[in-house]
Amino acid sequence: MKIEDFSIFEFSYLVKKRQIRPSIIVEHYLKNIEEKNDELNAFISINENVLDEAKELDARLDRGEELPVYAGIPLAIKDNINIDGMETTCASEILRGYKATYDATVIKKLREKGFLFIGKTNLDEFAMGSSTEFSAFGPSRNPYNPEYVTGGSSGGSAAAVAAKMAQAALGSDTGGSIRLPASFCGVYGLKPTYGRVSRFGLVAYASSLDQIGPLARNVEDIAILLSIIAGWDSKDSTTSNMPVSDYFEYVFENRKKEEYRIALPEEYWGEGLDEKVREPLEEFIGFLKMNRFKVERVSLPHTRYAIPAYYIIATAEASSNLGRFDGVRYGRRKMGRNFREMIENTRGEFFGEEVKRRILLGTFALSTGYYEDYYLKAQKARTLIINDFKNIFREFDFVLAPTSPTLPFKIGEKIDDPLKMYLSDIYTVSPNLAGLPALNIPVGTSDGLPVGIQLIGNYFSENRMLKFAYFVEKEYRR
Amino acid sequence: MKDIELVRYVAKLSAIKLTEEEEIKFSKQFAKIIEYFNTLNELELGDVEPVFSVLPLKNVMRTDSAEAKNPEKILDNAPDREENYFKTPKTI
Repeated sequence: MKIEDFSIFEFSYLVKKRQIRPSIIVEHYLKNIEEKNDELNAFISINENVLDEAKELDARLDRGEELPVYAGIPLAIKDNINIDGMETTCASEILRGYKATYDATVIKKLREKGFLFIGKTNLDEFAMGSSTEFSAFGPSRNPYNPEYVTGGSSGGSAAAVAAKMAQAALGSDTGGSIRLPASFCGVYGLKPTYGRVSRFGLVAYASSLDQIGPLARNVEDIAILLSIIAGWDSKDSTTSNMPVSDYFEYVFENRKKEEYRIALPEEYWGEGLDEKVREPLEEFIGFLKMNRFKVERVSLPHTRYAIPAYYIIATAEASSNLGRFDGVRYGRRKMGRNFREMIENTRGEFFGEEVKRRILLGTFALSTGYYEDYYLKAQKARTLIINDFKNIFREFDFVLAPTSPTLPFKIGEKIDDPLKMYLSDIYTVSPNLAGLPALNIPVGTSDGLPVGIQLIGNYFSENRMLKFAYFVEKEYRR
Repeated sequence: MKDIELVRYVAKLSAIKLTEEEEIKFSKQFAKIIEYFNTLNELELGDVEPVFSVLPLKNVMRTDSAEAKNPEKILDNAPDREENYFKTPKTI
């Protein structure tokens, strides 16, 4: 068994029993990064102190000290989440050189449990994109075939996990940015319920949609990470005070086989779904039926309005959130003849094309004369989309849908056609609009590229979702 | 408004200086994207309430106390500074 095949829980046990030293774990992952990152471009920066931090833990073990439960296990963090003292670039020229001055809440919580942070991962600039090609640091490449995209925007995190350059990773998901790259890279990726995880210290893109979540090679690691990062935070007023389950315990201690009622919305399984994706997914549906779960076709009739509503709301919120990048307080500046011109020059010069496109679209959707026709209509359409899901969850536990309509596409294939790129998110944006939790489960490959299925649960049902995913992980032989 | 005028107008509102090529490129793309946004016009939305938060949220108050963390670290990130101030070109 190789080091990277252990789970977080197993590492925790082995370190505690002094059967493995933190520095050995970290060295192993650093070696994988050295071998693979030049090609895959998953990381924007590596934490240069990480090995010293691990050796410090070794020394504490040698002195007989009790260490935090997950001491020495290295995670990769999307580069739009602040780690005190490390650069946060958001893969943008405008933030080049910016060093975070505090830990995000999720980082603070993980640090308290002993985790180390091995590096910051690549993304589409400010998390705006579906392929990780819109990065000022160049595209990440798919570990299954480097000619193909990783999906985005958390493409660096997904590639780092898939190529075993970290034990697990954090990403952020506004319209599919955890699930799509998880699907393209063949790993698990969870977007939790809106409000489940604090966004304090996450650079905001679209605040009514953004959630931080874990990516990992197994369900166990997802459950452990979620248990740690979830919960109310006085620094994020949108966090919920719903009690946090011990997801790990729920999944592994309670062995009773559960019955699941699963809805397949016809709008997600019809025209537009690539046959190469459909095949392995239908095979998987067959497995569920064999297990005698209730699997039925349903309708979510407003699905076709999800993408326009999503891109109006997300760009509108982005245009407001990105107002703070003005060349005054952080990042870079391009001078002008006066204050106003300095701001316009700075933003014109250092924002990338996709970011400018979205700020402009969002400003349009919010501007006088257009607000009622676009932003307000989108927020009303959102109500209809939420009601569709509420109706289904009266009779079903989960909605099951493809994560992506196509296999991973080639680098460069969609970069010049924004609308085509936006449609990559066609199956992932609705859970964000509704605030529902959604998980990518890898279920097979087609033409040597991974295919994932998307499990959408009711609000705060992550425990049951992970239990279902664990059942699939153990029982489904593809 | 013509497409290119619309792009120039929202660029001004967004405080982003665009190159001429960008103005042309964006105006072509926006025509297509906005047409797609117009799919929402198929919906009858008269009585539908808009969503501004998906979860019931209560306003949370806290004591408004200053917390000077590390001004040096924060100011170090600024493109230009003088003593404990951010420095910018003249605003008036």
